[in-house]
Amino acid sequence: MAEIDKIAASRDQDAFRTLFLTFGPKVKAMMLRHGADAETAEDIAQETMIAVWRKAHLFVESKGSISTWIYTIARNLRIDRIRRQPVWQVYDEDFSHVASEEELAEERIARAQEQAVIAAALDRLPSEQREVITLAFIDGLSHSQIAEKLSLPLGTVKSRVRLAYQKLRDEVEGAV
Amino acid sequence: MTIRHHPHEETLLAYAAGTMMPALSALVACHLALCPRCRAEVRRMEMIGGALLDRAREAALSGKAVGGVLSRLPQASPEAGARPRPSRQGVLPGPMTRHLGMDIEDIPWKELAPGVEQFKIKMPRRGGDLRLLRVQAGRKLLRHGHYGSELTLVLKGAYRDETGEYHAGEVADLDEDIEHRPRVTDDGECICIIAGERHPRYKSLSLRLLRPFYGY
Repeated sequence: MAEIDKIAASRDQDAFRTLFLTFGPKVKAMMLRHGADAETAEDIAQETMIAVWRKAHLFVESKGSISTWIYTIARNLRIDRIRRQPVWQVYDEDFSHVASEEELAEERIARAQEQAVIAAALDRLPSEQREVITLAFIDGLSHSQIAEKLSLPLGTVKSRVRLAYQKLRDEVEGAV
Repeated sequence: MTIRHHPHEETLLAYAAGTMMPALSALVACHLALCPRCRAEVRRMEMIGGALLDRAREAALSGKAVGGVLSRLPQASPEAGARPRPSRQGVLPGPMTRHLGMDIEDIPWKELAPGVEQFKIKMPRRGGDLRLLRVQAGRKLLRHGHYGSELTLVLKGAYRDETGEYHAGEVADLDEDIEHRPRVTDDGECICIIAGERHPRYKSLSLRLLRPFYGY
């Protein structure tokens, strides 16, 4: 049984500790790269994992990838706590179409496959494309900030980001 | 309703990475509420974040981190599930209704010119420019360009300009170098959300001078 299932099923603190030791240092590093001081970065890593503790049962129902779920929590806290800006999100309740159980089941399988393909495909990206994708997703830099940092025209950054994504998507569509 | 105009991929990627200005990400969230295709794209883009997080270099936690977080667990009770569904599917998408705490009937529109009304949504400093615009059938807007990119999401009715025709649910994703003169179609009023990095830029000096008057 994965840690997250144990947390959802029985509020298992040992399982939580294991998850915290795995993801805490990664989330802390992500916040440091965005420019947070060490204390804030660690605080956000803690807060991210507290959210995991509180929402484990909701996540288990959705059956996505745990890394992606933790990434989105950390990303939203980065917007809220470091940039001090509102987080604009869309929730399931906003959709006019509510997915059926069957659709959900199909989607879960597709998603697990996609995640594996994307992870493998990321390693095969040309380094200049991987660099801009990492600067956006992990360092949290906007396209203009990336352009400034790498002394590139904004258009070049946008096209690298787009090319990288198209490559990942093509691999997913070829594999699933 | 088939949606033919979507935000550019790099726009959705910036949303997924959480690096967009609030005004622009507000508009993308509203489009996602209406567009299953872009929702699927963004979910896939977020997987990039997950995969990169797995590979991220780690920063050692301080000695007190584990003890600190464990001591907070007893107070952190499980979170309740879904938020209540909006009472009905109105003109405003869910994220906008939630943010404003009101529906379209309650918007305090301000007249900009005959047949053109707007409602500016308060944004934090350097958060960009976000507004709702309601334009009567057949009206033309002034020719303008933009500082930085501009996104428009149509909520009701339709308009066309040099780049195409946009209907409810569709997004015009314009770069800085594009100037346009939108015209609402004759079928009925058009309500849209407009998000920009800064406010619109008018070509002629006289129009720039009129800006304070029009409140743009």
